[in-house]
This record gives sequence, C-alpha cells and structure tokens, in this order.
Amino acid sequence: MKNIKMKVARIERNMKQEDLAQAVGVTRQTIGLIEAGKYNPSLKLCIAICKALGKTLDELFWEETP
Amino acid sequence: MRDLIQDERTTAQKRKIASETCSLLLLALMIAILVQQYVLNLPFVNYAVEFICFFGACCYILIRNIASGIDLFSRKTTGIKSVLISSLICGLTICIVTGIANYARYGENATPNIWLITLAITFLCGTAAAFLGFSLIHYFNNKRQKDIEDELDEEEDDLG
Repeated sequence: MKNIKMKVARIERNMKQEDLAQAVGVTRQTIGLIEAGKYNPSLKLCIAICKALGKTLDELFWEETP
Repeated sequence: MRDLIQDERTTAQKRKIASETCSLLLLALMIAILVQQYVLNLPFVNYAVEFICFFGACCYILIRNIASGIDLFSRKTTGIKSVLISSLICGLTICIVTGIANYARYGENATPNIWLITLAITFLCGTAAAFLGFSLIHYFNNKRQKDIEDELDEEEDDLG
C-alpha cells in the first residue's frame, strides 16, 4: 500500500526525495520504495523519517483500519 | 495475526549466517585456486571447477547488485576515480602474485632487468584488463542508476 501521508508530508516541507534521503542518510531509492509501499522500513528508519519531516510515527505510518 | 508475523530477528540472523557462509566459501575457493595454481603448479583442469564456481559466484553477486539498483560506485563524482584506484590495486595484486609465482619457478635463471620488465608488463596488462572490467561495471551500474532515477522522477512528478 502506498504511503501517501509520507509523500504529502515531504512535499509540505518542500523536500524532494533526494533531500529527505540525505537528511535521513539513505538512498533516494529507499525513500521512493517506502512511498510506493514496496519496502517496509525498520522502526529506526521510520523514526528518522518522522524527525526529518517533523511528524509523529502515528501521523506517517499508522494505517486506519476501516 | 500471530501466525502471520515472522520473527524478524531470527530471519535477519539466518540471512546474516548465510551471507557469512557465502563469504567464507568464496574465500576458501580463492585460496584453493591460488594454492593449486601457484604453489602446487597443477594444470588448469585440476582446479577448473573451483575457478568456474568462484568467478560464476562473483558475476552473480555483481549482476544481482546492479539489477537490484544498488549503487556500486556510491558517489557519482568519484565514480571514475574509484575505477582507476580499483584498477591500480588489482594490477598491483596481479603483479605481486604473478611475480612471486614466477620467482619461485624461474628465479635462478632470470636477470634483474628481465624481472623488472616482466613485472612492469604484468602490472600494465593487469591494470589495463582490470580497468576495462571495472569500466564496464561502472557503465552498467550508472545506466541502471539512471533508469531508476528516471523512474523515481516520473513517480514524483505524478503526485505533483
């Protein structure tokens, strides 16, 4: 499942995938794959992404069940 | 739910063990090849299987890494520089290994001049061959990276 929330949070911060990747210390591909929902990041990486985007884990990674 | 979740720690540990085993096997294969070729002076047929397995495994690792999009020359700007450095190290290694092997075989019959010329030619040929190989890897690696970048750009533009 695509992580739209993360993509929106990144764009709100005027960051490109490359910028976020550099801020977190991973490759751009990793960020692209997380946003596309093709890679499950570790908790450590999730926290780093949240800190870089100024969001909480809930706001970016929690999926509401219908 | 309980059955659906795999134990991440044990899975990661198993993968690490498999990876370490692979590295140890490759090292053992390389040592076996070098010992049979240079110490025991055996003909190629004696260590052909090890040779094919070793280089086959190396090629597989290389191709899988490039196909998966892992950047082997992490920084684009230092790409060519690292190709040159790797080629020189490779050339030097070939020169040293071949030099020692040749000295063990023909040490008493050759003059210092011939030794130096032979070593220089070995170094140049080894470096040139390694440069060719590394350049090819560098080319395919960059090509794959560019394809992925384009793909990511497209996906990024889609949302905009």
